[in-house]
Amino acid sequence: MKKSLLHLKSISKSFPGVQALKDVSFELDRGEILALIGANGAGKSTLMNILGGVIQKDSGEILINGENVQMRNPGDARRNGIAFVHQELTILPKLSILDNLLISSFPEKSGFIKQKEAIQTAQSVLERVGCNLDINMKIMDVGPGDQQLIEIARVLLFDPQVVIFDEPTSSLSKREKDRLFVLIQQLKSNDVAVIYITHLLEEVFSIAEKVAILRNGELVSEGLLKLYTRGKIIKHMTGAESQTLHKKKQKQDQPCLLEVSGLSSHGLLKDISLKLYQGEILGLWGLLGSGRTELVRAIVGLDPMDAGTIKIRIKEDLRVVKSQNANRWIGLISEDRRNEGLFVSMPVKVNMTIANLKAFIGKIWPFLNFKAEDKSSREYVQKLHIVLSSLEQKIETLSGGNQQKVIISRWLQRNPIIYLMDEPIKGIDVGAKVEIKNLILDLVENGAAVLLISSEIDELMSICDRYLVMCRGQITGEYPSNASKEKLIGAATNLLKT
Amino acid sequence: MEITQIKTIMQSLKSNWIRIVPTAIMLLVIILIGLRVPVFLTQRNLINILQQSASIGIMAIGMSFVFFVGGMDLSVASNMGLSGVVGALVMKNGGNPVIAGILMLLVSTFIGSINGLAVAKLNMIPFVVTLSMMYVADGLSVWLTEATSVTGISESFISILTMKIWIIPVPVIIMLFFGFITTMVMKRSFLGRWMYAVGTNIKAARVSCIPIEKVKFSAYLLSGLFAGLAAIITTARLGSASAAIGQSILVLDVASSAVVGGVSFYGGAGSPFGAVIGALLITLISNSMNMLEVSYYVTLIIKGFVIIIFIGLESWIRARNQS
Repeated sequence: MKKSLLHLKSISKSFPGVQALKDVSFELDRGEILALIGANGAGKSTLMNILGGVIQKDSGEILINGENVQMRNPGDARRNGIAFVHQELTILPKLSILDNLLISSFPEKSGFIKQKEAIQTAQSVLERVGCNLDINMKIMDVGPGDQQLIEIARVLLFDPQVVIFDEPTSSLSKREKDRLFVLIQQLKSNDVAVIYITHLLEEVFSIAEKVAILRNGELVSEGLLKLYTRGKIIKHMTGAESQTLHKKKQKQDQPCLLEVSGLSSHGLLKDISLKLYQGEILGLWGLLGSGRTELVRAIVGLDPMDAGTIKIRIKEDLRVVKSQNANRWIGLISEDRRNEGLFVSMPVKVNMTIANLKAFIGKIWPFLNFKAEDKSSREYVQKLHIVLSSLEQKIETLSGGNQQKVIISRWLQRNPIIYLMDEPIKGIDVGAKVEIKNLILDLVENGAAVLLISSEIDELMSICDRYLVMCRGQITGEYPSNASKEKLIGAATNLLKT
Repeated sequence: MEITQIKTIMQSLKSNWIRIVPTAIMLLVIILIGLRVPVFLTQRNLINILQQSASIGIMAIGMSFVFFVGGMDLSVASNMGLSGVVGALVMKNGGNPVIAGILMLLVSTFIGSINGLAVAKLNMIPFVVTLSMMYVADGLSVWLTEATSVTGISESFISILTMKIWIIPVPVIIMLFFGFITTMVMKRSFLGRWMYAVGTNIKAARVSCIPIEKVKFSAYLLSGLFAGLAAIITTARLGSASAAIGQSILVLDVASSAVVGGVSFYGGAGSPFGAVIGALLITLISNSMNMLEVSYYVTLIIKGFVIIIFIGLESWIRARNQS
């Protein structure tokens, strides 16, 4: 019998209170591209972390070329030819591209770096990934797409047999994504096996040839991709037909809740004016670096602004508000969930109520009422279908989608009239995406206004009532809900066409 | 449901074992020392240890607030010295002991609030600010006392604060009382929750509308306030005050009490009562070494190693929890 390159045999792993993986087996051959898909919390990351030696399996075997290998640490994985391109870049921003590439493997002679050899190695591997930047550039001056390429280049230095990509496109533009796909095809033709983890089904169909679907820690389906349809995959992922959005018609003549005029900020934002009306979802579309994130941050005073005013409807009246105080009426869901959303080492409950603690304080006794806090938290856990074993569980043990729901419920508890959501559905599985979109629709139905940023234009177009397009720090167009995708993309990429 | 509950209890026991074991080993060693040196385990010596730990323990309570928000206060001991000197001078010149006590609290809180302003409002680095404040307070104390010891402290001031209730000295009761109260406040008040949140993730705290500046400011202010309380106790116990009572090496005892007591140096975890327990352990080490007639310098070496072991354990626990 032919021995496959990688064979996972009955891998199981449990964490306190959760069976993360149950008896998962699959095989992968040289030159194959396998898409590993599954909802958040399905066990994809756990499985890949076991393969990458980051965590230990409870039982099962990992066979490489038919030989049983132990993955006790990431070093073991590397020695066995397994490379992991992480979702979050593990890059040292203040060092040069050269240093980042070779940081763990400088060619050396008695402690001194062999400069020439280092430069040669770095340049040849950069060429391989199609990145033509100067190797002395500092990483912080490199765009996210090129950073991703550098990360991949670093992995290629060790001539891996299997390369794992964990959601590699979440911060890439269309062009960069295409370049990545070409690179993956190259790996394939060099007989490298690729495991590609993603939520985006379009990507699965454009790159993979095999697919493995995980649900609740079990491998529910696996096989050649051509035997699958989009609907079938979603069904396997969620265990049900995909949910539908319950979108309602927007009412006319609603009052304006937020008015921004003439907002500028040192070169990043130029003279931005916008109005946000009650009951509407305003989509803010733009490419990375267009200033969309900077705009929402400036509105709530997280980034400084040089000029401009912000008016918020307070007691039936639009009033000028200082941006430092704007967050009293505005809920911001930050793009950077880990650094600006989560208190990772703290319990779920604390993460849920932290923005609204004063609601749980008695009138006479000025201390927190734990019972009320529990009750309110439990209510939102139910309402948002958050999957957890206990409210005291640390939030870092939840899956990405559930973490995002906790952060959204943090704001729901505070109940502001305006929500600014920066990539709220990034890195979340199909099922949770629909749930969160429905939640946004409910919010506006109940009289809030939402400014929504998303890189996934189809997602954005499925719920927005109106669009603003940004390019290079300016608003370059406004479009009604029936605008075409081409128009939006066009406006985002061309400053002249308004 | 029941099974998961049992599991979580087991889990917490498991993680707490790591804390309990070294503490237990330390107590065991101390008991062994006690068997060798009979004086050590006498009621008198044990009460003495409690008494000695009170001042450090109270400062450690204050320091733990600063640790919670991820900061550092190197000025606590010098601040304690300065307010002690001010209070003693007032009493020496015939001032009312109650007013002198209040003045001590005011002076130390004032110093704490300057630290707080510099760190929270002006975004200065805590280490540098409080180090400079340590020099300022030290200098002021020497200047005010002309480098002598201030005596003439009111008799009633001394007698009330050195009184015993049953066999427990008043300062110990004060330390335990405030350790308990502040722990409850940290757990149950929104200010406490905010402090933990700021220390855990300051960016997320900002996005969550937590008034970060106020939270940080109050941590440094509280640190100052407790330094004042420690000053009251110390001046009463010594019956005098000098610049030397706040000698800067004392701040190491205070910081290590907090760390040994499980208050995270990195912010966001621990409790003030833990810091009090830490102060007891640190004092126990000094006292038992003293009883064994180990020299002061060797005691310093041993203390240093114990602290490193505890910090090492904490890092190890953090690393384990993360994987």
